[in-house]
Amino acid sequence: MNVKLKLAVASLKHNTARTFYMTVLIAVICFSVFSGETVTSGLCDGMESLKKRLGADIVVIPSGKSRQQNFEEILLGGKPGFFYMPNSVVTEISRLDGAEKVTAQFYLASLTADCCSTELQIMGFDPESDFIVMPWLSKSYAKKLQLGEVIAGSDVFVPRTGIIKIYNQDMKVVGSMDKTGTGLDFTVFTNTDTVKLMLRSAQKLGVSATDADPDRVVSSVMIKVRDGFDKSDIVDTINRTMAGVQAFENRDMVTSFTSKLNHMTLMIKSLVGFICVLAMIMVVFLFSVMINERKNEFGILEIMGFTVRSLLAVVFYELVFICMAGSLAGVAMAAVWSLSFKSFLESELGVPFLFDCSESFLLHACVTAVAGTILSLLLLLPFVLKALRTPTEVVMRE
Amino acid sequence: MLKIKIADIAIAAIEGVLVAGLFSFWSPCPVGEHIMGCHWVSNVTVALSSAVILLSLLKLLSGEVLFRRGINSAVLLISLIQAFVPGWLIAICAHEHMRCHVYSQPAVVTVAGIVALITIGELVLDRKPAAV
Repeated sequence: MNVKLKLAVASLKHNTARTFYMTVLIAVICFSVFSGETVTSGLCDGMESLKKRLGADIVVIPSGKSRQQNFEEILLGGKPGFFYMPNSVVTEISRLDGAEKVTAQFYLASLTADCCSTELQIMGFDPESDFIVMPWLSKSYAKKLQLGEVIAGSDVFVPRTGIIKIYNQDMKVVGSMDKTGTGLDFTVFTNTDTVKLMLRSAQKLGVSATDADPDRVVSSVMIKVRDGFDKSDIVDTINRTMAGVQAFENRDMVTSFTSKLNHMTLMIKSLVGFICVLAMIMVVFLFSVMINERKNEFGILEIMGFTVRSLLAVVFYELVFICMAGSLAGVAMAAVWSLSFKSFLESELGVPFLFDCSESFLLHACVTAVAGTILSLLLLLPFVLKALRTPTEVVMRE
Repeated sequence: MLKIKIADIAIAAIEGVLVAGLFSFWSPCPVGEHIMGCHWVSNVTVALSSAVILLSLLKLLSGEVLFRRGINSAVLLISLIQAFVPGWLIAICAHEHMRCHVYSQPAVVTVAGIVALITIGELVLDRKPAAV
């Protein structure tokens, strides 16, 4: 080990309190940046995922004060629910000018079964007309779903047997979906016939909240609008002419979530920024005081034969150790924190949240640690240069 | 010395909050027909937290550096083990949105992490030579 490195290590060991406080402050900066970045990117990824999955332009559901809220909760919050309207609506909507594609969906909520199961949302789609679910469901299961076969969302607990019992009916899980960060992760997808079978079974068991004939009802109708037609005109037409239903644009739902997401992102970024600025001020203050106190030490070392260049190397080594340790500790703590709070954030934020814990998470962590080290060095080196520029005679006279 | 004592009291208080939380607001999944892993995680965590509380209070009694360093090392080791109890040493529920995943695990990891950090700080800063 060369003398400069030895001297740097000895100095760090001798001034443990100084080394500790500096490392902690740099760790605080890196912790805030990395955890803030993880949360904001999770929110943005969740929103992107939601936009990709909302394939329809217009949604039609039964009218009622809280129906739209129910629908949003099913789709985004993973809160199981159901509502029905007569299936004649589908035929009426198909006749509308401007409706390029029309498909109906059928919702059903299961009951809690055992220790590791929660209520499930069951979403039935019509394989013949569907243009919403099939495009992304086909990645999990390319074949046609048979009666009694289901595809589970990424957060649905599937027993080892691969069979989920819903309303006394055994459902075979033939595939699992990728994570979306939305309520769809808690949903079981199947064809309409299977959902109707479950509803009939629930009615037989006497646990169904509805006595509607499964063959005569649907839960929602999704519409893809033909190019050149105004979506809001079609929404107005449906709301005006069809009784018992309400139509709205998917865009409105996304817009409300985007504004909520923007507020949250802004708040998180402001908080991270505030913590970082505060920690940086403290680091700079602590370091400038510390470097001024060491002017005498530098003067003595210069008298002993050290050049300004070699003194700079000693302090540089010290700073590299402190900044690297601080950055690595901060990023490691933020990674552990993010991983342990993953489920909490997904459940409690109330907006789509897609946590990416793959290679990109590791890459992000490495980049933050390296950037933290380099930026801390750039922040502190000017103070070292300033202190070393002071002539030895002046320092010794002082 | 006052700072160190404040740190000891803080450790005991934080662990106390964790114990209280695991019996109320951070409680794991309720015990039904089956007793799940998270129930045992909670029991082990409460036991480890109680040990940390006891050690922290014991530390308040003595000003001897070596005694304090020994206890700090024990507290550090216990809190590191505690952080790895839920999900690593003892499996918790499979469903990621059960109470144990959403509340209990983050609470245990956070509290154990904070206690470990405070203890590392004490170990680094409390280096006065032992009284002869």
